[in-house]
Amino acid sequence: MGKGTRNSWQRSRRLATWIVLIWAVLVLGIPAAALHLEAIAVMGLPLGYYAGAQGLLIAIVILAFVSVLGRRSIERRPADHERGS
Amino acid sequence: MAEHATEKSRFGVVTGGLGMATDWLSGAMLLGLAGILFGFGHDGLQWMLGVASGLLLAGVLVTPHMRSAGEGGPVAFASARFGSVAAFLARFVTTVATALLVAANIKALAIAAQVFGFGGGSASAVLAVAAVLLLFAGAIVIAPPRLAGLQASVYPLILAAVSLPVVLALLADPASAPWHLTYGRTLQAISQAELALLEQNLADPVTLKAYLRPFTTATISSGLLLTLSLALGLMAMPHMLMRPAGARSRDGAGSMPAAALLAILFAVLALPPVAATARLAVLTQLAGSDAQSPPAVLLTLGGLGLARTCGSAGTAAEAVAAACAALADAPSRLRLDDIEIVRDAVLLAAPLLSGQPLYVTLALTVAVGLAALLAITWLGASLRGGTHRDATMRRTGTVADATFALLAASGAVALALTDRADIMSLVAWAMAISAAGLAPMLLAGVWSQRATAAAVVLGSITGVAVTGYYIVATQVFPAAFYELWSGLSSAGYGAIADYEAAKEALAAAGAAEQEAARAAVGDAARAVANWWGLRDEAAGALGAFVASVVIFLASLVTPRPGARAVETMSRMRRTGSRV
Repeated sequence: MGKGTRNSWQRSRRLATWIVLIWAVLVLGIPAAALHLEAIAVMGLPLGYYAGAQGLLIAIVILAFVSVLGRRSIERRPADHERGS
Repeated sequence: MAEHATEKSRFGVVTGGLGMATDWLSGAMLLGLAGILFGFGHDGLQWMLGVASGLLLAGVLVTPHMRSAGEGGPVAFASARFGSVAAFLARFVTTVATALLVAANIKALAIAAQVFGFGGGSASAVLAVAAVLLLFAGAIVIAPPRLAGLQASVYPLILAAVSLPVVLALLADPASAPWHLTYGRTLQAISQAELALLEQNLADPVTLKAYLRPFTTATISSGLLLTLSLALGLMAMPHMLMRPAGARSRDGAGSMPAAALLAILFAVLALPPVAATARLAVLTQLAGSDAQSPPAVLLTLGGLGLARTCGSAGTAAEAVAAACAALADAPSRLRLDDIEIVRDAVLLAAPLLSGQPLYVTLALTVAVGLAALLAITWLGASLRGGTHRDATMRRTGTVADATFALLAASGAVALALTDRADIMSLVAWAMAISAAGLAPMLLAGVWSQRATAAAVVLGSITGVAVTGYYIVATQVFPAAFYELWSGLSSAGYGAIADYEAAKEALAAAGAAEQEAARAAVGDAARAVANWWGLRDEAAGALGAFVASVVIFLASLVTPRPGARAVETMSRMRRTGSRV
């Protein structure tokens, strides 16, 4: 495995780790705190319910596209590196 | 899809993404999610988050890397990375999970058929035969790319049908736009109606689940583990991974799950408000109404097989009134517990409950039926072992495909006809088996260079065994499970006292009462049979944990992966979107 490939794989791994960590905090952390979020209202909805019914679903879609864009950026970098060297 | 698959037989991002969305939004998932949201309120959201998260995790952790390995779907990947024993195990786990999902879709089809007047045992048998034929067609006849194209073209119709109740509500009350983002008033009205029914003794405080209150149907940890089990299971399901595995590029393989998530977002955002509106209608328009002249909508729903009043699905007011009068504690006004909207059919009942015209229910019914038919066919396609250049191998492959399809079909028909569980439980069990048997195998294959074939086989078998044991034992032999593991149960004193009382009643029962008393013991035992409060639907998280630990430890003491596995890993780690 070349140096560029190794660096690229490490960046891919880092990106995946961050996305999964953020997902875990959002999808497992916020529902766990739902009892404490019920007192806050967003657009008439209790925050805990709003998070599960809408907010977190939208966040999951955004995370998916962030992951796609991040991976594209990573896959372009080794090519730049090779052109420069 | 093998490495030599032609460009024509590969999937584009839009076709693949819409096809994945159609799989995700199968007939079973549509009915199951709406029913869970209606019945469990806030706790139902964890189910929805779990299955949505599965697509995200697939796109981040599995699909682009598996595509780079160039070996096709999960079974072929398992073969390249861990050898033939792991591939056989992956196929077996896929078959079990597929049987459960097909059973769930047969139940969805049966409900849709009932709305059109085709109910009863003979209709169920006809539907089961149709499902088996479709499964075989998907497994050995229809080319997957052709089927994927059909699914992608049908998805907009399914989305339009699911959005119809929301669009009509918007047109009826434009001031509430965007209705599905601001239905706080509906939720507040639900809470007020629940309190009012309790004050009037029209609701039982023991059976009433406060709609907005979280963790009334499961503990916090069990709820979160359920989300995790559903997410890991869906992430590893071959029927979801097939299209990204056959994508035209690695970039496409990673983008497909994101495209699918975007496509399902609008449908998924519509489900909680539809369920909440139906719940409010039951609380305010049906509960408290005169038992001698029940509301017309209850009779209509009864006629469609979507509701029962005082245990009767009668279409005549006299029949329902007689059923209510025959109850031991005959009510003058209908109590909440006297009205049963069939949970798996809530999505179809919701438009009528909200005062919308019958054609909305019929449109949703057609969409559910269509989605279920397509889902069953594609599940058959996911049982394919792959394509081979060699003609002998191709013939052997077809025999194997047909054998696994036969196993899945037999299991599905048995599960659907015995009617042991509701739709969402069947879906959750499928995800649990996948989470325990496939997810650790795929994650180890992609992300660990040290994971060995022996360790993965041992880990997956252990994970599936733990999950399978937990589901079967807590559902089929709950009393024996509780007697063996009572020290780990989180049951409260009340539930344990109920179980002990049911046991004493069984011991004292005469020959004629034995069957009913035994059933009562089973019901009471199911309430106490658990490890640390874990729901059976969440058992995949436990199995995945056990499998991961076994894979990690066994990999340390077994020889390093061989040359073929190393080559597969090298291909995954190469960069470039054209890989």
